[in-house]
Amino acid sequence: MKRSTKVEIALVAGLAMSGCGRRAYDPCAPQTFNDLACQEAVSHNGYYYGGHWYPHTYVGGYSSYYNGYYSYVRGGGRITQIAPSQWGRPAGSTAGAGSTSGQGASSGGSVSRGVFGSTGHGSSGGGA
Amino acid sequence: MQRRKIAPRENWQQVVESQGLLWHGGSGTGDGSPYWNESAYYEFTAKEVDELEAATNELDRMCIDAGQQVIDEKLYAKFGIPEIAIPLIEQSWEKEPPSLYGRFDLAYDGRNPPKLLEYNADTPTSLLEAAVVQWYWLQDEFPKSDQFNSIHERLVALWKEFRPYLRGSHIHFTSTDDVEDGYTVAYLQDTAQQAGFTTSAFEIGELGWDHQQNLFVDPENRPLMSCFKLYPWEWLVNEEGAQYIAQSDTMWIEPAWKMMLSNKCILAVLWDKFPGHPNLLETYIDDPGPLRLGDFVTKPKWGREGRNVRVYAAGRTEETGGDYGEEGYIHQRYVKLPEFDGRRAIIGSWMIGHEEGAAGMGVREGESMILGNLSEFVPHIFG
Repeated sequence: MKRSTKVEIALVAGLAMSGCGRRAYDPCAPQTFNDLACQEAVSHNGYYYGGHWYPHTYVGGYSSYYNGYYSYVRGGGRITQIAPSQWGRPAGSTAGAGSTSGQGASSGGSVSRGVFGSTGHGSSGGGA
Repeated sequence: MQRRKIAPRENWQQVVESQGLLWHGGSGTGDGSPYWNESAYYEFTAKEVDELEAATNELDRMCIDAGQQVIDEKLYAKFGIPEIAIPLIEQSWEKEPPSLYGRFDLAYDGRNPPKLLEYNADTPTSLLEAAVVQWYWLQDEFPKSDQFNSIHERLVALWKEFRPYLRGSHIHFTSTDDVEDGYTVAYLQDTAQQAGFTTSAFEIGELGWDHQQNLFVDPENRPLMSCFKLYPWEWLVNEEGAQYIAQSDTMWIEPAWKMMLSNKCILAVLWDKFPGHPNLLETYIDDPGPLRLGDFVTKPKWGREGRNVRVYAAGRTEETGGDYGEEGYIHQRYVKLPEFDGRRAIIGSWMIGHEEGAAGMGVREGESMILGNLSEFVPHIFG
């Protein structure tokens, strides 16, 4: 059975430096990975951090960054906790790569809804 | 173990609603009785709580052994588990993804060892009541007494431990639109947020499958990386989306292997593996066998909330209706539930994770020999 271990927190890596010396954490870096922010970053070729835009070219798609993160933590790598709000888009701004889609949105036309939930209808719910 | 009467707090409805218990009975139970019942409480001794805690820990260990036996002997067909679910069970058993919680329902009278009636391993509810509502009741009514209840702290701590194993820092939560499921999910969301995760919730019918990206998505088309589902695995694997589960990257909480333990056939495997164990009841799959000579209970393999249960005891039969049983039945030796003031009681003993042991309990009661989802929740104290 699972024997979970506590995550050790340390301030490391995932840092980007802007031209004026600001420091920003890449949401796709294994040490600072955040799934929603990373999806956004991959699809827009960059990310906001602390309200500033940091352009970045991502190669391989979101899942490769996720896999990198997953391997990293399973291997005992340390993570740095970053408040998700740091990667939030400032009010009134648009993403750097010009996309206006929602955060991490996938292409809507290929999505089937209602693939689950049919058994639950008419019952008192899924809890017991 | 004693049942004691007490006057309910004057404004108890408003109090429990403010704590998130949006459904507390009255008209909701059909006969006007409350679901949350604080006109009484159960008092346990410390020794009794120790006994319940030890039994719960022992049952959890035995269930893991029994799960291994199901896999080793490929008992899936006997359990009524469909082919499509087998690789999901075996892979999740091997990879050991996070498993959050489970509730053992026990018959216990304070004199005899606790007996396992069933294990709600996949989608247990009555969690908010046990973790939060009865705790605040204790603070109001018996602030100097104790309660077997560290459920909330353990949930928050366990979510934190999950962090390296979950996919990302956002957890999706999904369930039916049933009100009880809704407040259970809302509570679990709260515990995950306290552990530092961001969360969102949606009704399971809104879940989508993205054919281009081969992944499950939420109503905003965001990928489901880690998803808590208050929706039984035996339902998931029999619905349209089952075909996509194996090819998706979604990490489901609870994991698919819980499908084995939430099936009532596990009670027969337990008895087969640990015959005569003081915390078990003799149980058989499909045929009652020697149980025919005495009192016994018949339950659907995938039964839920006390439905389609038949009790043969003391020369009479009592049964409940429902839509379960097509998959077959198990037969379990009857044990008399303790009776207080004409009420029969069951202990719901909680496991949060598997490493730290039993985390707390709740007591449900009713007049019938078969307790279901409308049985009343009564708070408890000990010491």
